[in-house]
Amino acid sequence: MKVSHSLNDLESDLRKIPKTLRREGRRVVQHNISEGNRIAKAHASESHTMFGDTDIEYPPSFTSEMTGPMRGEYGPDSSIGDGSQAAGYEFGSINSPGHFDLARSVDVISTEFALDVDDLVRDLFWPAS
Amino acid sequence: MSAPELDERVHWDVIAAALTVRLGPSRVFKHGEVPGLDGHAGEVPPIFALLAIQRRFVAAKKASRRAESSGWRISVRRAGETVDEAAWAALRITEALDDVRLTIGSHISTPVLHETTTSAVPDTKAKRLTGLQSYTYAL
Repeated sequence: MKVSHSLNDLESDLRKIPKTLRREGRRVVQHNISEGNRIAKAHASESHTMFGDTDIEYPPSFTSEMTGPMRGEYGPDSSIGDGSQAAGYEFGSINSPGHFDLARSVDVISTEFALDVDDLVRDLFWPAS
Repeated sequence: MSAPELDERVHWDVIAAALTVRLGPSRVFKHGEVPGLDGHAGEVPPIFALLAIQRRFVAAKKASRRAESSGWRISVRRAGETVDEAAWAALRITEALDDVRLTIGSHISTPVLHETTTSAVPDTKAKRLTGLQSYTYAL
């Protein structure tokens, strides 16, 4: 009886991983910043436009963009609409409590992002499992 | 209901009591209830804190599809007449909340975790310097 082992599969995985990681890592970051932005923007339009048209320019200022190969950011853009007033809306003032539109989106997206990264790493070794 | 103690007024009372111990009596208010502001009688206190509690997202467990705890965010806006007074209030709020386990209803919370502190900036309406401190905890 003859038993033979090889590490061929692992070796080919390790060759593929650097390429896959660049592509899939970017996809995961992109997906999560746009989801985070969507949630934050939804909170913002809920608290600003549901009961009238004051601050109607605030929610449209929420954007997301990639700032590196696997790095991105989202939130109100100070050059668009009322985006420059974001600090007041987010953290509130003596007149009203903060809305925490961004903080509440981070509550959600930090969990989702961690799960996505988990899946990403698993898929590198066991694709589409 | 799956998560414990969901009435945010209960949370408010507990945290306001904790802050009052450190800041002194009649210094913790809800937004819009400060004496001397918004048409209320009296004089604006030199130092005070505005407390607001919000429910926070907690992921449901995959197995049961239920969140078995409730997450909360504390936001405290401190106000003082001078930079020193605002800093004093900031320290007192930190002492009252940072890493403290709150007893809410019959439940003991996770240690309160610091999230954000913004620097104190002038507020024209109240003629005070105000800054925000926010914390999170779960039950």
